Amino acid sequence: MSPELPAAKKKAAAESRWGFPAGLKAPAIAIGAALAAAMGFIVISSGNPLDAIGFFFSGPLSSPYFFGNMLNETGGLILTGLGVALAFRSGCFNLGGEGQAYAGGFVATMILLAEPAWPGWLGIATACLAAAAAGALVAGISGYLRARYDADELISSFLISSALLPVIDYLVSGPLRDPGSNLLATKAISPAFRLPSIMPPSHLNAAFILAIFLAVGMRFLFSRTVFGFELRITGGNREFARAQGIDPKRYYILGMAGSGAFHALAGALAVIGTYFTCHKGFSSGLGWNGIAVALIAGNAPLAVIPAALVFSYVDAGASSAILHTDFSFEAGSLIQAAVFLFITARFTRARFARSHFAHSHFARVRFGRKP
Amino acid sequence: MEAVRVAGIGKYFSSNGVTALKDVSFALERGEIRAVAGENGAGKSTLMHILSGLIEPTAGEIEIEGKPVTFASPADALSAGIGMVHQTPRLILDFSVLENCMLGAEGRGSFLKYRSAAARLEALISEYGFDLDPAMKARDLSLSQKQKTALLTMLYRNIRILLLDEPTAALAPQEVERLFDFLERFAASGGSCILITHRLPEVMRISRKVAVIRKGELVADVETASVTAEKLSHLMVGGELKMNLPACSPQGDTVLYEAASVSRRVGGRTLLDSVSFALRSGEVLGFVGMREDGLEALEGVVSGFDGATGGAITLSGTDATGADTGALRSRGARYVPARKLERGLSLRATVSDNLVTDHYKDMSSGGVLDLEALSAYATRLAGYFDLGADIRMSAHRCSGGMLQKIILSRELSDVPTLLILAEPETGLDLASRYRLEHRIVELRNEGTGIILFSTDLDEALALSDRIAVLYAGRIVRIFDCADFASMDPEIVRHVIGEAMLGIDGCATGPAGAGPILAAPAGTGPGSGVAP
Repeated sequence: MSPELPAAKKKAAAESRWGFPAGLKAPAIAIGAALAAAMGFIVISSGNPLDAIGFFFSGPLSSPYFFGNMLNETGGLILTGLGVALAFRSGCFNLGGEGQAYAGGFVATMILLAEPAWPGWLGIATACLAAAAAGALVAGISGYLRARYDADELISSFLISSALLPVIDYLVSGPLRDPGSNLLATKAISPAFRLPSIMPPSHLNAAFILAIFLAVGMRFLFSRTVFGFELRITGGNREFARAQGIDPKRYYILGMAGSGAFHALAGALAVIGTYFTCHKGFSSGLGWNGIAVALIAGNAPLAVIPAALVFSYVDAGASSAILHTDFSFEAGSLIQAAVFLFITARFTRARFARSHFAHSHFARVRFGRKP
Repeated sequence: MEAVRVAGIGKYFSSNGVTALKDVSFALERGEIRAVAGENGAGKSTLMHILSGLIEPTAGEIEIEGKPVTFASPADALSAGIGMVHQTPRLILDFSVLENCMLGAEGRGSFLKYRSAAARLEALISEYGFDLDPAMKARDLSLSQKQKTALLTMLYRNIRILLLDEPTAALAPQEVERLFDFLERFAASGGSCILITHRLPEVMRISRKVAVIRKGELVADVETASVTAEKLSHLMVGGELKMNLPACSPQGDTVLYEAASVSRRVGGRTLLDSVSFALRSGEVLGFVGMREDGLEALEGVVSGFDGATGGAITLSGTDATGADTGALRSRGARYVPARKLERGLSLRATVSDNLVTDHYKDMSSGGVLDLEALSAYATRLAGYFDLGADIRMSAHRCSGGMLQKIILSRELSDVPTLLILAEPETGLDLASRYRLEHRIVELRNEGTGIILFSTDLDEALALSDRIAVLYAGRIVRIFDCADFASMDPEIVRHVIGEAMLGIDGCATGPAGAGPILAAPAGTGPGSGVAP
């Protein structure tokens, strides 16, 4: 019974060379099913479904403005997707991405509003690093609690994030609000500290390129470094890592901290590249959608790029349909919810089957149910 | 009357292109006990899974009591009267024995009928003479009791055809006898049984006919009485194998590892009670007993996974009390755990990654891995036990035997100072067992001290220089295997088996101080305290 067959070989090779999950079929099915559900919904709810569907698919590609904005959103999702993937790979679940991204944007804004007499690049770099450090700290606390007290990092990261959101909301709409503006936002950062635009008038900027570089960098980290190897081994099986002399606690903390840093960076770059101010709830959705992106990508860093693209395409398509037809805002949200639902359903099943293998197998044996 | 007839059964896994079974046909009479023997990956389990409805065959037919059947799920198989008891009984630990039996066989209606179920179960328990209390939680059962519970769940459902996968793997010899008595009674009452086993003496003891599967094909289906164990092993591997270890005595007298009054108490329970022993370099010290009688706890302490709550440990003359797995590893210890899926490897990593976890740091510079060196190293290790798999594939696609080979290849690649081996032969086929035993002797001759933990007495006897028997958290006996050389193997098994069950009268006395071997062969005292 030799599994050394061409099909298995090819699959394994694809897995090791590109970091794509072996089964591209499953995410394709999830996305296809979500789109089908979306189409069905449009047909039911829209007075002119063909138009709505047309704008849904062609809208994001109709002009450099829409296309650039879609890519800009992709960049942010790549970063949060990478953050989620990093936590997953270390065996953690970071559910606090929303708060970490918001905190990152807030910290970056505060630093740049102080208008240090620095050259632009230094200010941007400092703001990004400070934001990443803040995110790492916030998420690292959850990692530490997991390592030290075995407190579930999924719960603690969510709770800490949930507590951060209203605090920052209060600060930007209260004490730190720009009195000269109608927006619930801080003052705008100086033009010297803004990232160069790529496809004006769209919001696309240098952050997108940085995100791509970071995806490649994380791929290198996972597959080529001692750190990445130990992180993957720990994430795969903590007991085994311990038996091999790798300290699993270290990777709980570092995995969570790194994840928080990526989320905070996404928030900081959204401020520095897109909004130029920290307005109330500017990062809303970045964290949650990052989870969906990481799940579509199967936590493979390079696959995060197309996954983020798919997700922002659906988002931009919905916006375009809303703009041009009687398509409602709620319908747009519903389509995104459908994508999220189908993807997490697939993932949860896989995760359940893996971590509770014995039980699901048991269920089959005893009840004849397929796990 | 035929209970089961399978004709031309084949199984092709389209997911990986493997043909696991080819054209297997045989018939099982009512009241017959049939053994199925074969190496790892030969297809025995696939056949059992097909018969129990877990997987569907790609070719062939199954007839139960003369009627053709197809199983879409184990529920179908169960309702046709055919059920499987797995190697590790699958029970719900928080349920009682009774509830486990009722599960899935609750009967009609919305309410559970505890009283009639309990009466039915009591009748079954007394009919077969099981020592089980239906009210006990599965969590509190010993392994053999769990197995009996699993058997009861089948009897409760009126299963007439039992499939047993390696049922004796973790049982003491006396318990194996009891299991076989049960099977014989079950067969006498018209039930039939198919038994998978690696152990040839058991095949000879219990089965009327034996089927041998090699590489997915049925290579023999013969009367057990007409073949010898040697002939069977020849059929299984398709070649001659020597299973005799070269004789060797302990190399030196330097004490490598010493445990002094090591205890472990968890939540008021004493898992280990003042365990003391010394291991010389170049010696294999085998610990036998039930997992829950201290074998598991001692493995945890010796490997550094669990701390001792009392006592001291020295390794190579320096203190190692409280040293964790990483510290022991850096001091030259290697560890093959009994719970291989938890501690031995990561199913979510590739075979290659699992092979190099001991050496990846040596093949890196500045924190960057040398992937080519790692791959070459992994390929070399994979050759050691003939892994026969693409090392780039994910470990979760490997069979149990292959996983064990991965662990052994990694942990036995160097010459460690101290080697901790727990159930090293689990799931290994004959050729790999031979390779392993050969390597153990090689390492012993190089001066490695080896601590072996085994629930398989034959394995321990084959590999050890001395055997320590654990019962109720204490060492009740330490036997010197040299004394067994001239004794009848059956008597050796009997004597050690009694010690394992704590019934030789010395279980409560201090270690090694009990009555000495009552061996009719007259070899005299065979036990001694640790040096």
